[in-house]
Amino acid sequence: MRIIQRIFASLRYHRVAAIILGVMMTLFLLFSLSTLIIRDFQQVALNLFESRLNLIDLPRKTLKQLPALQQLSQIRSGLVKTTGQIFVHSLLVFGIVVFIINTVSLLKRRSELIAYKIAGKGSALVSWQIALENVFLYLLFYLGVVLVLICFQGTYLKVLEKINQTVFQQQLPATLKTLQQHITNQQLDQIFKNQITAFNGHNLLFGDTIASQRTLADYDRYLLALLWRGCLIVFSASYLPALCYNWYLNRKVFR
Amino acid sequence: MFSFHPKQHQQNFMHEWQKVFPPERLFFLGVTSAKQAQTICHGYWQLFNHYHASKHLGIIDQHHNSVLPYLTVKENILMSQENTMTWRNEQPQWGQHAIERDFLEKSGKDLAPLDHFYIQFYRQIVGRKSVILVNMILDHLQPEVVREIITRLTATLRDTKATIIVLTANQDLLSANPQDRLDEIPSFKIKTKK
Repeated sequence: MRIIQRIFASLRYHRVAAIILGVMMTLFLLFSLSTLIIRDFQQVALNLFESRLNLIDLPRKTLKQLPALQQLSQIRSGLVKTTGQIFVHSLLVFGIVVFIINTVSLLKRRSELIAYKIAGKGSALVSWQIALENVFLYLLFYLGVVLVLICFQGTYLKVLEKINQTVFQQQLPATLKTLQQHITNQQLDQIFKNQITAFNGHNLLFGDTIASQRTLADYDRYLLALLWRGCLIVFSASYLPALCYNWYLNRKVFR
Repeated sequence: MFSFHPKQHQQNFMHEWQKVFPPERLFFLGVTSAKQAQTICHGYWQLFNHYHASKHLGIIDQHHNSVLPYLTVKENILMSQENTMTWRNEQPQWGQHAIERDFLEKSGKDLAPLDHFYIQFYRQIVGRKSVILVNMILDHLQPEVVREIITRLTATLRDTKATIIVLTANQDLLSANPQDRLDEIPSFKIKTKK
């Protein structure tokens, strides 16, 4: 239990470094969660788009040959792929940032690490403690971010929907952009009025309020994914440099 | 704790060591420079290590910081698992009168340089080190402070059965304690493995 006591005492003492790392963790959590939710929006929109195409009483082959529909489908699937890649990159960048901040912090805590060694602590135990400090910090900021997002989940999801729509519209080719600007909902509804389907035309082509009824609880799998992946990254990016630096101190100072 | 090394060598070595440095005694070993003191500490550490007896040797040094500022004195002393266990088992017998409670509750960041010495010393005592080397720390202190430290070290020796060896270049300190003074460094031959 003394290790827990030491972890919190150390975090309190090195509060500036902890706040800097905490801010990075918050940014990572917000960015990666938003990316995952936006990817989910796009995936749902793509699935819905394809299922709606299936509802239209035309041979699928004919539909696929229509360039506008093909383009929309490609944009949606491209966005799903891109957001997935952004998420993977955000994990990598986060790992590198934690590694850098932790290494700088280790260099500043040199005398502290020597004190641990003098007191009879092994390199593995000291490194373990430093890694746990950062994991505790991550858990603390994770809980904070989740609580704040739960309080403002409506606003947060609306903002994400807007971002999603903006990104999607930016991806539209010029022809479809013109179509979107010039054809109103009423005109499209007029075109689609004889179709016995559950959607209007504008929604089919450009989608919008698919996710508006959702809450943050619907994305709990992403929250869990960020919890274990984040902890794993923080632990690895803290434990390994601490172990290497302790080994270096052993060689340099105590031999 | 289980050890892979034969105990016999270790016991023979400790027996030889205690012939030169008997327990419950304070020795003053004269050195000429800080470098020589460092060499002696290193040499003795290697010697104890060779006989797998390094857990019996504690070195109190002033070269590096040894106190964590965010922990109390007690937490600093009980940093290692062994110290915590010893403290739990033996603290009622000797710890209460050896270390003042106020000192134990002090924060690591509010300590005087002398307190750093006491932390290192009690760390070795609680860690049941039978030999404690004090590396030239007393050389830069006022005579009355040195006297107080020596009184305290001698009082603790009776409870712990340890041997304390003070390495010093201070001639006044050496001449004030002629019965405990050593001018030549006792050497121990290391048996090489065949």
